[in-house]
Amino acid sequence: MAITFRDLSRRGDLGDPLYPLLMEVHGHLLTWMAAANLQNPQQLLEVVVAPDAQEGVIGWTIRATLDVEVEGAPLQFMLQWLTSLSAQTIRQAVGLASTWDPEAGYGAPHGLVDGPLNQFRTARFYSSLPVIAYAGWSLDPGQEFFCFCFNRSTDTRGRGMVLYIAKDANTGHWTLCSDLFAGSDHSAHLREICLFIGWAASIQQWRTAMQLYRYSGGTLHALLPRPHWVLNAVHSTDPALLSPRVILPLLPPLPLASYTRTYNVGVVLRTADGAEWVLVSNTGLALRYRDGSPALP
Amino acid sequence: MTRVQCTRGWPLLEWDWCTNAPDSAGFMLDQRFAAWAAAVNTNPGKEQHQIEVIRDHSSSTDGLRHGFVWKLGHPDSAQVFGFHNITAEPNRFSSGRYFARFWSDYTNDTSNGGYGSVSTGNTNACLQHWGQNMTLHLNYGPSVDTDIRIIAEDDPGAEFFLLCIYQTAEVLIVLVHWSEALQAWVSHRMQRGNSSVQSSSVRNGVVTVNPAVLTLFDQLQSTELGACNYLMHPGYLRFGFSANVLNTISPLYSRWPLTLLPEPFWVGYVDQYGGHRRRFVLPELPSGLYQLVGRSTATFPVHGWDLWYEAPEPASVVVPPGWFPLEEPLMAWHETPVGEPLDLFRAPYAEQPEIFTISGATIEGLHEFDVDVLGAAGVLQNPLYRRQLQAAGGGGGGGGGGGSSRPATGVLYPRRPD
Repeated sequence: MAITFRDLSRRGDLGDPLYPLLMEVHGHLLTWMAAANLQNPQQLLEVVVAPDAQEGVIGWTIRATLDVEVEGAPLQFMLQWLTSLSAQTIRQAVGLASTWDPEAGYGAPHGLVDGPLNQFRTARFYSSLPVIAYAGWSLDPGQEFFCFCFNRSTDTRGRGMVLYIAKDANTGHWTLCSDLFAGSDHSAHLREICLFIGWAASIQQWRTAMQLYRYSGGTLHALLPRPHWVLNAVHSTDPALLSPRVILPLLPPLPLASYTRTYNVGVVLRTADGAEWVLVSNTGLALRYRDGSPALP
Repeated sequence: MTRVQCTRGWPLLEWDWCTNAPDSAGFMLDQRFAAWAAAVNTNPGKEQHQIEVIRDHSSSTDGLRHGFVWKLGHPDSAQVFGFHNITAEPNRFSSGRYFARFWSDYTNDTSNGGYGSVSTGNTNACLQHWGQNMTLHLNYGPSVDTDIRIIAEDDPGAEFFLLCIYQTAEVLIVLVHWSEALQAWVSHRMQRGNSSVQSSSVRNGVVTVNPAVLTLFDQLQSTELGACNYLMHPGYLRFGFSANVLNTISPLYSRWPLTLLPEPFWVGYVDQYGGHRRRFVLPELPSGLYQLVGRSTATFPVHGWDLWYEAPEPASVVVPPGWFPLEEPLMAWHETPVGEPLDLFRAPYAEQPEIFTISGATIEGLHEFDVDVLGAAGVLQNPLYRRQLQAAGGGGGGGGGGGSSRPATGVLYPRRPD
């Protein structure tokens, strides 16, 4: 198992660190994405709009094309994390690429994906303060992922996982996720929410999720290996959908676990086996960047 | 493994909680609990966790208050778990008095109709006794069918005892189970009167916070997405009530502890709140999934949760004499669909943490380095911050940095010119 982990934290006294940070991440992302696409010729990951492509707006518009056909067309997901530093706002969206309006949101070329996981928040990023930032990725077949998070601890909406692109280890389809950058200190419910979309193969539906389902054992203050996504119900009046259905939860790649005690992005954990983890998400998603003994299988 | 799974109903004119007839509900309940406790007490590993019946139906000193008091053993702090009705007259209705506290808080005397009392102090440390809302119909009244359902397991490490009392709109759920990870007994009590479910639980030997109302560990509900129906297996519950309470008590950004329910139980939300006693059978759930109690409210955040039970194959179930199979209660299980899509997330059950053994309220061997470090010392102790310093050519001095680890290549300072 090979994970690449980068501490991309930056000082704030050498100019606004956010834009160069995102551009540095972008470079890593493109490299990883090219390799991931080579390994997965039936699917396609694309950066539709790069962080430097729109005046005054930084962030990503990313599209994933799955090896699944829905209503005669390939299923395509989209992930957007955008911020306008002058307007001091964040727009985020995770959803179907078919709902993307290239003129919406901050305007072209980023546009905006529509749907319930389309979020708009005010957020001020101080240009002279440091930023804690981590990126991690893997190209292990079947366990590919790329994630990037940052923490401007001076802003309650300035922290979270910006990008999460990962294979569902059960079905082999790409999933997309971004933390909701909406939390405040006093809103634990909002802080634990992320925006997720994936293909629930067991019921042949695309589904969204807003949280991880942490179940793989442990009860108290535990670091739980292999959390799962629980997918939100699709509201429907179709009688065929009214009977209860058993759904297999989707599975994050192996080095990702769930920590149950605290959820501040950037918290480092060192466990008794010597392994080190960093919390990369407001949902408590932890990345094992350094193996302990025994190593993960 | 012995899975007792049974029900007994009393039609409206035959129901009487206060009677001392040999086949009264109280005596039958006592028998089931005593049999379970006797089996559990002989299980390996329970020498320090014996369960004792302190009071039972026959302990009433006034013939009006009846109930039970159990002691759930623990080498450091045992728990007392009790319930009795509190009305001093044979009214048709009575509130129930419930307590789950440290054993040391319990006054083992004949007060309260023979069921003893718990001290009023230390209420923040553990559950307060609940003195309201459980409207128990004591004897005959208008349309008061009563059903008692008991499900019990004495398999070592997986022990649980579940009591359900159903009366028209009221539900009382008592669940005592062993937590293999905590090495302690955990007790839950849920009740529903009118439209609200109130739930509370105590892990013995562990101080919990007040209010110790359980919320589902993961809340998918939000104001943005609206309600959705789902059940999860295994069932994780989180201690805690509101975010504000959480933040005033707990360290910044911390979550409250979890508890893991025994394997047969599912938790979740079904968006017809207040409902209970549903059942459905699926190919993946051939013996049926039973809704024991429904959620409290459709609003967010949700205060309450559904508790469902997955029955094992019929051949492995024991129905004691005098009882009826769970599938054939007096008050029928509703076979009707939920009315909205219902998703069942089923994952393998794992009782023990896979890597890290956690016991009690402490984290053994697990060190947490917060983002907000405590000064330079904290920077040097935080593994990632220390690496930054070392990469920048600073830190690493003194005892904290473990000597010089200056990289041989790369831009050393300033760290990242832009």
